[in-house]
Amino acid sequence: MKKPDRKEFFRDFQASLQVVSAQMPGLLPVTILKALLNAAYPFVGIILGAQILDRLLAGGEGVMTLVWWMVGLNLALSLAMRLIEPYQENLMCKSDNMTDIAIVKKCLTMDYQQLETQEIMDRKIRAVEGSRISGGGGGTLGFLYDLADALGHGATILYALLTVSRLFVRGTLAPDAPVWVRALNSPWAALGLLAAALGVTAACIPLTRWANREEAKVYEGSIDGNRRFGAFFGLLDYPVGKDLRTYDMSGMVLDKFLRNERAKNSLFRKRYMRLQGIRSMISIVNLATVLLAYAFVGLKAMAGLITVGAVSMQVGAITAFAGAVSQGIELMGKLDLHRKYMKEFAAFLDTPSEKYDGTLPVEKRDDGDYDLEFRDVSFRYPNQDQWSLRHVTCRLPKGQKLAVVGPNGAGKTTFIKLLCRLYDPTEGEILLNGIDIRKYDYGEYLSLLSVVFQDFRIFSMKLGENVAASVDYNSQRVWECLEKAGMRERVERMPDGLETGLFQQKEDGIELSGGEGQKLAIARALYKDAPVVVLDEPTAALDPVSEYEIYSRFGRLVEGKTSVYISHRMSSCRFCDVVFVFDGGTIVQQGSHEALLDQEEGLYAQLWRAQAQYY
Amino acid sequence: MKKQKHRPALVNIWYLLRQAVRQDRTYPLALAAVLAVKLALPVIATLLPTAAVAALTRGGTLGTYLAAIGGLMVLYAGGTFLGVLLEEVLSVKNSVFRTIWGVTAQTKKALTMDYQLLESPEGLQRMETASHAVGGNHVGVEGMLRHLADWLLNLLGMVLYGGLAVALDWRILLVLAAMTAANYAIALWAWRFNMRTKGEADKDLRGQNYFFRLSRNPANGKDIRLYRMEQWIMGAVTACVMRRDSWRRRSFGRRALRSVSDSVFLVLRDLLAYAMLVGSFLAGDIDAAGFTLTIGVISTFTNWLNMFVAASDDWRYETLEVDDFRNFLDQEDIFNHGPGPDVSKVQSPPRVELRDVTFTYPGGEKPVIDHLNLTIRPGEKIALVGLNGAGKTTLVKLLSGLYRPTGGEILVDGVPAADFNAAEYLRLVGTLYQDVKLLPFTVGENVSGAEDYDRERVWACLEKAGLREAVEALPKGLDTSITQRLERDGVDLSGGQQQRLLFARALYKDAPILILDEPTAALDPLAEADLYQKYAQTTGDKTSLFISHRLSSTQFCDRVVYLENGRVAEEGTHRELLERGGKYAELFEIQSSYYKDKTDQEEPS
Repeated sequence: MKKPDRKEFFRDFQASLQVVSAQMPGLLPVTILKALLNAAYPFVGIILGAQILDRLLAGGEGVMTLVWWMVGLNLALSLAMRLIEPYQENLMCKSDNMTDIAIVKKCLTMDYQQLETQEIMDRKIRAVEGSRISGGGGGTLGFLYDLADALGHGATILYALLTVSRLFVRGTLAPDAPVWVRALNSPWAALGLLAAALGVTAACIPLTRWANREEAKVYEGSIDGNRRFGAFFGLLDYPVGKDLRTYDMSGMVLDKFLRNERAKNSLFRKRYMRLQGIRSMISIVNLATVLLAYAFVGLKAMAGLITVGAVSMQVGAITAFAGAVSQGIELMGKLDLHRKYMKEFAAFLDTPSEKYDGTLPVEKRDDGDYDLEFRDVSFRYPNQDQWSLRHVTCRLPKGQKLAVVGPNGAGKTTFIKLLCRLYDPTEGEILLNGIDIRKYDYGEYLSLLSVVFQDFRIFSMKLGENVAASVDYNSQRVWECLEKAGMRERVERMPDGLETGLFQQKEDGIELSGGEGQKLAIARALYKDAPVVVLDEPTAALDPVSEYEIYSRFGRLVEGKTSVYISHRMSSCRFCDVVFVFDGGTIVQQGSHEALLDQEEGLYAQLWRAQAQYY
Repeated sequence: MKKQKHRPALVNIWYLLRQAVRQDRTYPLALAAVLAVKLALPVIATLLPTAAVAALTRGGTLGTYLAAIGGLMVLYAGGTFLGVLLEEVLSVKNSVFRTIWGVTAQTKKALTMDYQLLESPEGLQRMETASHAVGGNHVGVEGMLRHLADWLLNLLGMVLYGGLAVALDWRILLVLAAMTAANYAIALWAWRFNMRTKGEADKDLRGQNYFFRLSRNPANGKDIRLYRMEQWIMGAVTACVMRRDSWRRRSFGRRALRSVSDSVFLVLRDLLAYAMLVGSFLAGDIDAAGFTLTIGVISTFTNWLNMFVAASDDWRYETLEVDDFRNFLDQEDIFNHGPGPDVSKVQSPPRVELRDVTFTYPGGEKPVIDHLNLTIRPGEKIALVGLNGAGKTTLVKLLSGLYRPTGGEILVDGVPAADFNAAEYLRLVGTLYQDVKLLPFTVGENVSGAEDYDRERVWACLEKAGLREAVEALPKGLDTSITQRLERDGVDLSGGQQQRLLFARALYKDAPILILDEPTAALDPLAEADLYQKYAQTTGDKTSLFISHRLSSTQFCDRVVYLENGRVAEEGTHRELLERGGKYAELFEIQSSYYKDKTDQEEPS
């Protein structure tokens, strides 16, 4: 690791710790306490076991007292550990859940535009799923587990060094002791042993760096592999099954899947085996420390400087030391990976809103007198060269019905997205009662709009909640809105009425057909009761009778409101007051249905005739 | 609904082992090698301090001391290295087995089993549980196989060290046996609690995951923002998480109890062992080395025991998932997957006859298709119309060979459709389904359904479908991938383009029967009119069925069939039906009213 990297490492590490402490204040102290206890446990056996052996060799006097001590301490330590463990695990899981919840919340509230931005969402995927492989927990949980382990190894090293420090105590020498015995008795000899142990550890550092690099490669490779695996697995979703069978594509899917897996596996196998090879080399190098220790304390014992019990104690302590060092080194690599992912996670949560959020409140009016105007608006989707809207200037007819028509890709839906401020115009401005909509409080501005998008979504929760978009709803109003949307009868036949769960993802609920979903989405728009109503292709999935019902009710549904109706069914223009015809991102014609029809060469007349000729 | 079959854990592990060996002949070799090394390592670890104590107390020289320790250390180092490598070899073998055997077997089954079964609620449930069983390194199939090495190792270790301990003193066995029994009983108790409560907890987990996916899907983002749903959704997520937290606390508590019982037994074990060994030592029966060895043996035994109970406990959960997986694979098809009549003998275009066809969805109360009779003459073009829920899409699935009638039969050129081999029957029909599902593969592969295809023919079909120009403009032409799900440089097609691509696919297949289910819903009026014209040209003399809510489409068809409540309510040419003034005429009137001149039409109120 280079110097600036190390600085960065500690800074990020501290930041990660702060995230954890903020989430679960008690977690870090508990983790440290448990690590200390956990690491202390074997040392009871190492130290007292040695005393017992010495006492036995000395004739066995009072040996059972020592046994009682050992057993008692073991019991106390292990009970303390066992009782802390579930508490700690629970806190860890809670912390992990909070991570999940934080991500959900961020996704729900971030700019819509950011939700569609690949780089930002990639960051989230890396933060959450990046380390959720090879069985390790990802995100915060993985970080915590590895942190707890690392602390444990740290504590073991500490205890081992404390035990080893006894080697620095000089033994009593016989006056005629040979030189090698005198040398062994010197604290310098013990220091020499320590220096050798540290030297061995240092020798592991280049190996460790190598291992870290390999591990990062394994992880990165797995992320991409898992993404591709997910894409294939998505093909097993049952609606795809119809096409796969009818067009005999199963063989191709299976072949490609197997090829993908084989390639992924062989790459993974190669990298992973290399990583493990390096890791086992590290643990073997560390065994050199143990061998040195055995030689040193064995010599001391033979010289009569220490007891046989002390030999087993020192050897036990140094073995624990070597194990902790080699496992600790392995963990440093993992912690570094976690650090990177935690950083991505923090960066994701901190993604600033790019949208200017004004503070102006929206004037509450009963007369629906909200005047919306596009002034020379142009729009390009991020990372696109083509303009989706170009120089659009128009005024939504206040309190009237507007139809928006045009060929696929003409910019109709983009027009609505800008109106909803899901995107801000690249050029020009949209005004509400003469003021740029960016200057209004976003939440307040949205309260003016009820929109049924073409790809509306109904969620796997209770039906009534879906209509109200809230846990609390006014049942009577929900029923009224269902009635207006032509869905009341169907809901009355459902087993639990408004309490009926929908779909299978969360509820064990009922399935809705496309038409039923559309009616429910319309009911939701009505429940919101906003002064501006937008319906994007609301009848595409409906049969002529349901379509007729929506058309004939439409006037009543949106009475007194400004309404926008987008449709490929030209018939919908008949009951609208004004029609905008979009083509190539601009409004090419506007006027009433009759007026536009009179322009025989116009696009509107063409579109109309294309459908009307058959009726 | 058939009951879920459960098998003993050992039966499942034997099954997995057999499959693993079939996949990879060297699997048992790797397993045995891992066992040998991992069994030897603790023995060396126990012998090391014993050898040291022996050399020091039995008056050995420095030379013998270092030789004994050095020798054992070299063995230990070699064993460690070998152990890590072998373990990883086995671990990779296990992962590969999961994907190459497990996921592949599941994929194959999902791709080839009867669609009708796959799509049923029971089938979906089975699919989901099977996916979970091969969904990770430490669950179900792979988890169980991974634990096989642990289980065998610890079993062998227990037998070996238990034998040693007993040889040293039989009384120690009593403590160890009591410890095992308590350990096992508590594990079982915790497991029962888990089984009793897991359903609810799983449901909350499912909910949690659902909201997690939901929140990050941009397609949901618009509605969530417009309707200010964040509080509603956050409330629901938090509720799931809280319930799971409380469940987990109770579950953790039970696990902790097992550890507490372990702690108590460990104290008993140590007390007894030390008391006995101190006695033996003072009586001169064993020396210091023997003392060290026995303590080592007993504490290592406990280790084997705990790991053995843990592995058995993990199996208890995993075997249920392996059951799920096997039950998914074992589902029996209802279609004929054996030999059948020769499909190539079917005339092109064939006559299709539905005779008293009835279809009821599993668990459904009333039939969706109800004693339907219809004969489609060779080369005839039928328009199928009706209200939402009349049974049109079900009829499409029946004719396409995805569903089998629950009553009556479908005859193709007089041969019952059920007699054909299911896969061969599928060759007779080209269907454009209502829900557009393209694969994340290349344009050419999507059109042809194969990796090796006739490029000229694909271009010709794209041309007929009116998509040639758009594909030519793509960076890699036919080799451009669709969506970025698989390839980073993939492109997204608009709804209209996707629709055309599907049309090209149906043309490429060139099956004698063609079915189009709502192909114009996403098309603008000009594209719609264009498709109508192409339809007539391109379907040629095929027997075909066209379904649409846009009744203008019926005019290109030879005959209109009006479906109501799963039966044919009216049939005839468009003109005949209008003259008859029945339901079809009424429907057409409703839709056409908007297109007629205002002067001769009343505005709907």
